[in-house]
Amino acid sequence: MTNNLTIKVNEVMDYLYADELYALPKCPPARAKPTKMIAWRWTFSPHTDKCFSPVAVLDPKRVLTGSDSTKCSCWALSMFESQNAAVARMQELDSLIPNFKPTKGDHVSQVNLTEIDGVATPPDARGHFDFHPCKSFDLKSNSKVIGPIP
Amino acid sequence: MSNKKGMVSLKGNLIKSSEVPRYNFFAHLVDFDGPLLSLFRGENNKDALFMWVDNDSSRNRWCIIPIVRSDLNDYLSQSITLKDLINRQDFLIYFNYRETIRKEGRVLVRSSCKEVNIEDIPEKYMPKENSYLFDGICTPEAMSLKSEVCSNYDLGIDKELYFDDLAIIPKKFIELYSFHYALDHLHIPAVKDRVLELTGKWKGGISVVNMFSGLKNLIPSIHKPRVQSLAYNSPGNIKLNLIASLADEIKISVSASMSAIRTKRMANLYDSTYRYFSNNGISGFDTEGDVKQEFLIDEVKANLEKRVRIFIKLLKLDAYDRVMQWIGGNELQRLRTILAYYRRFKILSEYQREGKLLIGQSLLIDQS
Repeated sequence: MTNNLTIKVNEVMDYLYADELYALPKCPPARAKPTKMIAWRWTFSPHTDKCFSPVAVLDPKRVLTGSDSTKCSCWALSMFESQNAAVARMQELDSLIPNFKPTKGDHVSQVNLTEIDGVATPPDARGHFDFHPCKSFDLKSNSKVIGPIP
Repeated sequence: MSNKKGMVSLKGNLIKSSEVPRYNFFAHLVDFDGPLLSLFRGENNKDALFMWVDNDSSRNRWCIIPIVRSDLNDYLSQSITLKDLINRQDFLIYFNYRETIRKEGRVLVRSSCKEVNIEDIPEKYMPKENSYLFDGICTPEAMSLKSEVCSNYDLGIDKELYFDDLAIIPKKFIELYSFHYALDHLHIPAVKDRVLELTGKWKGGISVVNMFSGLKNLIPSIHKPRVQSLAYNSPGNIKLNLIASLADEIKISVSASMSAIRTKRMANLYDSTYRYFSNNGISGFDTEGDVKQEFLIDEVKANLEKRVRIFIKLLKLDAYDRVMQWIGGNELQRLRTILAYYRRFKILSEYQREGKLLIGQSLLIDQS
């Protein structure tokens, strides 16, 4: 039953980076589903093109091994299910690696997702999930900067 | 200062890439859209953390933080911070990494290696006061490392021992420990990849020597058996610090082999397997080097598989039955691996039967 649904989702969704996703095994993963929610993402203010690009298309790639850049999640956008989760995660990473926030995004933005915009994996215990957008979804116009990450 | 404008300028001594100590990747500890802090295995039990610090339009910059076992334990248990670890060094090595496409595929090119004194580390490269390894930023591999704390473990020794014996016992013990470690840590990608790489060579004939030495080299120093104390005046004790659950698996197998009936069954099975190899023209029964690949008919395959299963039961390795199937190879290759394990196991078992070794228990009377 789940498999049938997955096939239907992938048949309907016209993913951005579809060629690259389908070249990878089980990508997007079957657990990724269309969803309607307000999501949160680290960005800069104002938004730049890089704010909504998956790491697979950005250079240089932050990798240490050959397999680091070949994962399905590299083609997804990292998001959080709440503003608190997004801020807390960046603050913990910032204490470890102070130069990460200035490079990755020092603001938090709200992103409005609907069922036709793409598929999202279930949030993990820390509120993070991967979002695979469709070609038709305009991330910039559906997002707004909420504020700086303290 | 970063990205478009380039990376922070570093004050330090340029060194050749070849002068940087050799490290092998073990696991990412912190990762967000790519690794940020990773554990690498070094030579001579000197491991290191690789920490991302900066990038520009074409390169990432990393720093190497050498780490000793006790410090890594303290960092994993959140007793000390990453900043503390850095402040215990005199200098750190920084280098730039760039991914490029060559004929052989994607490769990482290292450049601009520089030794930087601790007092010259730029502020934006220095972790903050509360730079603990919080659970919230840990990868599953880091959580696994956090949960596996080494503890002391005794190998009691007694009776007349020669210098040779003090070399053989640790060597065979660590070979079995490494085998158990590898099969217990297949959830760590670097371990899985190494095991698959070793077993992948089965296609061209197995080399179980490589299998066992290769497995030994994949254990990070934090999990290697380390000598805590060594005393011998017949009786004596080797106190090791290791993952006790793995050592206990060896203890259970060896203890079971103290039964005369089980020992005889294992010896008989080993001898009959030798005859079976001989009668069916199968090479490499006790050869641990490369042997030619052989075509096996179904009847032989079934016989060999049956022998694997009986050996696994006799050695009390039941928990690994499915894992052994998963790591691949055919029935003959699996049987050769089990035979190689048995040959190592048998040596320890004989020491224990003769009262020269007692795995898991000190033979010293005064424990204080």
